[in-house]
Amino acid sequence: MDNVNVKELVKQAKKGDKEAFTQLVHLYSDRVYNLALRILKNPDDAADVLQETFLAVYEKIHTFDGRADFFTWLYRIATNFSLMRLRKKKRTVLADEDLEREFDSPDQVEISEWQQVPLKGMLSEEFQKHLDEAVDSLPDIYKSVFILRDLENLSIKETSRILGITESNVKIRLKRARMYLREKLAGYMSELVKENNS
Amino acid sequence: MKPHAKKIINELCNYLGQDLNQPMCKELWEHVQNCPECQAYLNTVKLTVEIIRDANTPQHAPEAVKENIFKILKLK
Repeated sequence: MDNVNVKELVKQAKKGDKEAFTQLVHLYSDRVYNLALRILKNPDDAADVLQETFLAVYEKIHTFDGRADFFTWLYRIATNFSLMRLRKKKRTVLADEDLEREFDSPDQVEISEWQQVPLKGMLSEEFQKHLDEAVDSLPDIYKSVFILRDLENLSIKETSRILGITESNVKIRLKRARMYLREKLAGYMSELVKENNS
Repeated sequence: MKPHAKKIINELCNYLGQDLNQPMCKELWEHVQNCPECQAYLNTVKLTVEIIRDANTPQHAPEAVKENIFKILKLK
């Protein structure tokens, strides 16, 4: 995405240029929608967040001072709407201690066996469900970091700005989220290895 | 497998918020660089992230929602 063009579009949109704002919606709606979808795992909720985000951006764009990238500012709004919606849903999430417990447990599958599991098995609907459940069970503070950094490919700096936490905190949460997900995956891998060997 | 690698990496992770040049942290990191077990463990963490990323194929935002935004804001 051409950064100069975005700056110009934002400048024009701040002056009330409707065409410029329309262009911004076209430019960023896929990314906002995917971010919300990854956090909420529900297309209807993600669609609502997409709409809420751009309505809020339209209302607040005059307050955008240009110190951060427009994209970071937009993502912060979309992330906040997604997390607010997520908190309203009744979910069972883990506490920090649960994550620690996962790290301390012995491995359920030998590392060398990871390569024996057929890729076909990995891509099954059931496997996808396990992955979704694992990501969904992460506490929000870990989940948002993992999604922004590892799935949205944002930098540590961008992630810290969007979530309003320090870069050190991003690193710690990211590492813990990755290790937790790795343990969850290892549990499922052991089942696949057993099936594969029987 | 005994959770040696997990313990080391988890400990290292606890130091991430601090100065990575601290002797304890440096020592742990050097261990990881030279330990095949820790390296293998880190590879499975990397593989986990790759698998989850691959399973999350990006999708297009629904056109109807975009149209609704334009309608509400009277942009068209």
